[in-house]
Amino acid sequence: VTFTASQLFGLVVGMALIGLILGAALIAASVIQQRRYLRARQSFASRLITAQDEERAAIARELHDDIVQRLISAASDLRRNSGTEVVVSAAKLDRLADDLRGMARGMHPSVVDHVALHDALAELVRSIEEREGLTVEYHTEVKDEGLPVPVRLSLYRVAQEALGNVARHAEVESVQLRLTNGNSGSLRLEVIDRGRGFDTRAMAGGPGIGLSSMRERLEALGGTLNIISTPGQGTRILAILPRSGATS
Amino acid sequence: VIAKDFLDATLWVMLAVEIGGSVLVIRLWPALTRTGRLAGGWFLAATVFGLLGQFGRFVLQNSQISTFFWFPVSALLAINALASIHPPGRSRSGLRLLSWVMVLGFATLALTVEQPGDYSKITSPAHAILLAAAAAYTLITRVEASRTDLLKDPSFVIAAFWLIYAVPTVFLSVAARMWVYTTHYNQVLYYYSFRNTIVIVSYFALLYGISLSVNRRRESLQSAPEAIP
Repeated sequence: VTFTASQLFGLVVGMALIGLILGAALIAASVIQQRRYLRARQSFASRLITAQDEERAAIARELHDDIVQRLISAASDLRRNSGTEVVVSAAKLDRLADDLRGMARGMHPSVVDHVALHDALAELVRSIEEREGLTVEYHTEVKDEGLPVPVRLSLYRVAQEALGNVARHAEVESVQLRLTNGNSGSLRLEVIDRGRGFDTRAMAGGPGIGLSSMRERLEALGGTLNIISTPGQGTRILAILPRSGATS
Repeated sequence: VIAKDFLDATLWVMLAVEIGGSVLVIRLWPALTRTGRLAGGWFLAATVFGLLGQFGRFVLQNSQISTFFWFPVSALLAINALASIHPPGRSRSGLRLLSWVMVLGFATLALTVEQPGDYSKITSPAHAILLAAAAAYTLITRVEASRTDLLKDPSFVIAAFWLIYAVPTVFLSVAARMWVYTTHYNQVLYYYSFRNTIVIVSYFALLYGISLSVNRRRESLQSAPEAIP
């Protein structure tokens, strides 16, 4: 088979065009496929987090409304009978009731359901300062409310996890918590410390679930989590979340 | 005349994009990741060789003189940029080895088979084919590894650029060698113009990829609005 110059030239141009189309198709298919996967993952994470929150809230209600009340009632019954041993037992029951109440609050911060986010965070700051002996400099410019509960709960959980991490690992006496308005109607929550810091790349494949749980929680609502940390220089955690919560 | 004017226009636009892009690359340089710096270095080299090509065309009446230096420089920077996208292991070292094999191979070809000042016989298509293959391989492995939107992933965007850049470049010197001195002269000029147009468009993708590869870890913690005492 012999080709004319025109046919050969057409063949070359045709091969270049086919190569280009295949390359562009490979790129487009990869982008589309990845977006589908990310959407499915976001939707699954969102449903998983909602189910987990609902289950925690149900267990917390059960603990607070039933078991704690029954313990308090048992303690009162015991106090009606005099005697040192009985009083000691009643005191133990009271302590147990307090512990269970605290556990119920930890499982589902009901404060988030009833008060504004900045007040819930102020309450969290007070409890962290009391429990951990850490000074939290809390600053907020977010006054208006009407935020959906999933948005409030997510930011509260991120603040809780991040402040807990600072108390456990950062070896500092003070930390900064900021809740501010971001661009395009988003909210920015920042936790900044000048403590030990860590290598974010090494943490990425580590066994801990705290940071990935924060990220999943925010991404499920269309938000993002940025962690900037350098060993010896401190850590800055920035959560950005749309006010409406993309899928809430 | 129209074909030549069209080719000239694409060459000047390409040079303008290269010069403008180089300013951006230089501005971003301190904050770029390793991949960003290698890709940025390739872009700066492309700008220098673009200027040399234009100088050759107008002063020496030959734009091909500088190309035999371009191929090893391009292979070294581009293949190493693609290698840096892979995690440490066989793929990365394999691509690095390939870059040096290409440099040595192109040097050997320049001294033996190729004729300086003429259109390349083997070096140009070999450079483009190996670049396209390395880019396609990196692109596919990146799709498997990436957990974010691929259009926001600098490594994916940079690999996609080299794939789109290399494919029409494969036939460039082949077409020139076979038909530039025949009655198909105008068609060759149109093919060059078409390839240049693809390169101009894909340059924007490369610059976008480089701007995405700014290393956020280099951001100072001091950028926090209020310092902690």
